[in-house]
Amino acid sequence: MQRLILSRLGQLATVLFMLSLFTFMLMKLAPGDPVRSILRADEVLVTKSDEEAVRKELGLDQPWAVQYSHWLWRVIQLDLGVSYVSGRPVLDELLDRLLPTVYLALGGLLVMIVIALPLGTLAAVFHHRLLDHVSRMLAFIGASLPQFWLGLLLVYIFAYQLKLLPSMGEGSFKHIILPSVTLGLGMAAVYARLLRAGLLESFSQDYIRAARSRGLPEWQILMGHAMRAGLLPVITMLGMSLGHLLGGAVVVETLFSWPGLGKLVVDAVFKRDYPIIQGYILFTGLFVVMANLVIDLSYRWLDPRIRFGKDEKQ
Amino acid sequence: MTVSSRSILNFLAISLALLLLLAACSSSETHSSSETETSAQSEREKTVTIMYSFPSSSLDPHQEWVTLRAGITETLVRLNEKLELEPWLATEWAQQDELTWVFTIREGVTFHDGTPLTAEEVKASLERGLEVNPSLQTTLKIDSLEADGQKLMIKTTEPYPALPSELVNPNTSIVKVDTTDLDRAPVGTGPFKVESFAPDVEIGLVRFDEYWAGPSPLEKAKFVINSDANVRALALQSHEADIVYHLPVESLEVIEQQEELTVQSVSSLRAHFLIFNHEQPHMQNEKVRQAIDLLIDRGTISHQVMQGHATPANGPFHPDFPFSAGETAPAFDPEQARALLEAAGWELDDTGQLVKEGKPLSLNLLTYQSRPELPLIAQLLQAEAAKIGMTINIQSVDNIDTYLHEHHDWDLATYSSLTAPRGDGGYFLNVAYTAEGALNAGGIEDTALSEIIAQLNQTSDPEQRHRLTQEAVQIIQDKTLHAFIIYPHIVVGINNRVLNWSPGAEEYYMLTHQLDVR
Repeated sequence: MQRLILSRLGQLATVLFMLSLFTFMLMKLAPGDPVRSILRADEVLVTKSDEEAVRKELGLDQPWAVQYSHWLWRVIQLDLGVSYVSGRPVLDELLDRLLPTVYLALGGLLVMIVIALPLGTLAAVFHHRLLDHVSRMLAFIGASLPQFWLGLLLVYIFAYQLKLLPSMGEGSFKHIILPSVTLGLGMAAVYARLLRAGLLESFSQDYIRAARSRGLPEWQILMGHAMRAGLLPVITMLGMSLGHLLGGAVVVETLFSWPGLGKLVVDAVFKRDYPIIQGYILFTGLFVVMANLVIDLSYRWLDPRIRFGKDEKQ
Repeated sequence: MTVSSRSILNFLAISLALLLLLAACSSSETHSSSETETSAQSEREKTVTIMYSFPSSSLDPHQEWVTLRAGITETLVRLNEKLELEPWLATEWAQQDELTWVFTIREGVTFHDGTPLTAEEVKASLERGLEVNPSLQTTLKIDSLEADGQKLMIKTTEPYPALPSELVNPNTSIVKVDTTDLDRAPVGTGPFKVESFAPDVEIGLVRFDEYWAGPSPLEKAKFVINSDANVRALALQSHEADIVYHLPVESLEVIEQQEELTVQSVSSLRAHFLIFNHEQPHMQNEKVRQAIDLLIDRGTISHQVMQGHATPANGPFHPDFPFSAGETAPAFDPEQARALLEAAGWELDDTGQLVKEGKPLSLNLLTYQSRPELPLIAQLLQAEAAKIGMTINIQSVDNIDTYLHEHHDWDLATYSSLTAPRGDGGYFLNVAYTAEGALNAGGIEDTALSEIIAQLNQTSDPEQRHRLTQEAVQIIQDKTLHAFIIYPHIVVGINNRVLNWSPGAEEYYMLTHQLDVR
């Protein structure tokens, strides 16, 4: 177990290194640099030599490998640098956005669970009956609604027509409801179908038949025996979703003025604010790998037969 | 699979109960709190909500414009409704010699923390701005600053008559520099103090009671940011916001139907125009440039593409400016355009193409998506050109600035720029028409124009500056160095409960101390 965690942490370093290297190369392949944003060239009198001077000062005139190694050397010393455009430390910018991002992710997950769990279970229990068809239809609709449209629709109904909830911003519990629902509905559709498939699979297992022949109530069979195995594919998917959510949900954040990571990085990409982009990549890379590690460990609890690596095999 | 109906009912009941519980919790809470909130608002405090589109991740006045817009900070010089320079934190200014300016700082102004505003504080603020914002270094050209009581002496690195107008730049806002949270809660001199700040989302503001020009009638204000135009329109309709900037044109009809809402469409300081690549042989030909200018249907663009929210352009500067070329925009005349091209040696061939020496007249036009009307304007021009036998190939690029400077395969490009953001024409003339200017991607070199610009850069008398700017505009228009298309409007939705307020062309002064609500 400890060895597993240690080896995963080793992998983490490699993953982050490769990730940052490739992002850096891709950024340099894309045309443009941050100089015009830094100089506010759209609004103030800037000469070509001013542009050159800033480019030189930031080292943007050097080969990308040199620029990358400068960046990497600072990162090894745990310094992510400062944003070219705002002049604030990258770490501060990221930490500012972390909490709202986490709230939104949790909100979205909660909505997803509240919808997907009953919907998926009912669909499996009433396999090929009306409820299953209804759940399939709901899943199709949920999965095909684009977020920007669903979000607008929710704002239209709940903020404009009913005046029940604020359309945007953050600050209170009310503010997080609409963005969470927007985020959660789409996910719920997919997860409900996954859970249904997982449950159906485990219903056909011998141990379920054994449980049934022992005369256990269906309720107990479902919750105590089938559910644990049925959750396995759901949990795998959750690992991926979690990384995705913590990376920021740009559409939802923009729509609801939610100060999350997604908006920060999209803005940084437009302005070619390299330190922010690189910092963000490290940050989310870390999250994705850690989330998947936790998920992998949770398999052992869900299905004790699962073991990792050579020395854990019995 | 068979499942006993009882256990299913159990399960259903539990999940239903859970769902209901959740729904009940959230809806009951929201209901009661929203009711109390609105009733409390009307009884207790007057407040206004302004909604804007461009996000700001910090409140550092030297990096962002939002602190000025939200009434937190002020500059030494401002623009009035007629877009003329006006004293603000400075009461007067005079040039002592070529390089030296003396600004008198207004008496009786205090920062939000009670410290009186002195020349020393202004000096510290400007120095800090110069230190953190490279663009201020290039625009202010300040060599040294000296403070004595309420007098601030500014020495520039070169003769710089445009200095007062450059001090309109919101990034030259005066702020207390020795505070801990400059980028979260700046201490300025404006009518509102920062109460809370969520980056890119919202600034909560409270009235500053000791404001020098008299306190605002509002107790509180909110400056909210959302970059989705449809959501902004909905916020206006649901009365969540009182003033909403940059409404989508397609939502205006619905909004105007609502009795309590008004839409105002004011000209901005921006111009949409065509850049010609003067390094290409075709575009060096003045007749070709003039022909293209004649092919621009400014009326249709203003009325159809912009749905009436634009003014046909005559030259780079908005007609309200004292130095503009007036309101009559160049005519749309395809026949004249063809005549010009024929005079330049092109002839119509059997297929209806204009050809010279066996080569058809074919041009590459660049455009970009971030201003959605520009590609439409490009298509309209393409269609008009096709009618007289000129081929225009449209290429949409990702990053127009980079493309213009790094590639040479283009003939013309759609572009948009703030041409006189600080009430002076010198900025645009220098940046777009001198060899060194960062906006001169087309490589414009015109001796007569360069001489006028050089003269302008040495002239500080406002009247003379206006005259020189007009002369420059005349040359630009006569030689069609650029083809100016329209001045787009700023479309602002206002709830009728807002009093004493109208949007300005400059988009700087939004939350003012006069703004009141019913």
